[in-house]
Amino acid sequence: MRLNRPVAAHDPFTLLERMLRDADHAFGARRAPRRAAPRTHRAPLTVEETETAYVIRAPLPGVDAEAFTISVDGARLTISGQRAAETPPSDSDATEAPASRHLVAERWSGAFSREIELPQAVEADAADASFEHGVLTVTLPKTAAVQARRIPVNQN
Amino acid sequence: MTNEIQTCTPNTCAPTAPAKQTRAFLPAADVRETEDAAHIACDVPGADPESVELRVEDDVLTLSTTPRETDSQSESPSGSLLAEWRPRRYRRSFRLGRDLDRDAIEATLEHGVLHITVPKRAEARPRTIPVRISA
Repeated sequence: MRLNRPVAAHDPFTLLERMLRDADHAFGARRAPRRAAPRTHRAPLTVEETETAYVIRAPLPGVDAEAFTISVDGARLTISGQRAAETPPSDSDATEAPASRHLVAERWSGAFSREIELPQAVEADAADASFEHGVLTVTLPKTAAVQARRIPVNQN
Repeated sequence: MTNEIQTCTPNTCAPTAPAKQTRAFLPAADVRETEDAAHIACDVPGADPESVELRVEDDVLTLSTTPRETDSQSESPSGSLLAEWRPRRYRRSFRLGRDLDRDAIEATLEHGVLHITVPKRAEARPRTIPVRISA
């Protein structure tokens, strides 16, 4: 970050204060109002391209395989769903919700969603999705028309 | 692989400071206390179930996982268009309170979430004492 004003280098507190203010200013525009609406978890993605397909992966631990909604529209892929709030795995037969309190609560819960535009249209009918060890993998074959064609060079 | 024992600060309770020397990632965690146990849930997406290691040393519980090798990644040379995430090595430590029974820890790995249950010692659980009434 570049400071516009000369800084009294002998006063670290002035410097610090100024840096904080500049940082606030720099990030202020991007800071969303807190808890304005229920937050939707934005799942991070990896997108890899092979010759014939796009492979999209997203870490979505603790989501039920049935809770995914995956849709493809042209070149646009949308992944969304819900993750239930934490419940201990063995307490399904619990009589009543046992008295409990959270000591640490860092994991997200509720809705998640992610949308991504791929470089080319994909074959939605041939899409394949799997969920393993908390990672969702979606494989979207490219449409035949746009698949890279390899042109062999004839040699005599 | 660095597998050094976590040194922990004499903190209050719950998560201890992360080890400085490891490259492991700190997984997001929930810790819930009920009447008879502490439940820990950690997000460890992509972790190899075989790699999950729980270790209790003194009063510190440390979990660590390493990612599963995905064979599809080596399937064909591919270009990466977006890389916001990749499978990681996870490690995190929790200090166990005196009331918890460290010999009865149970853990399950489900859909990339590691659930750990540490029951409370019998004497630490709430109980009601029946009052005998002598006629």
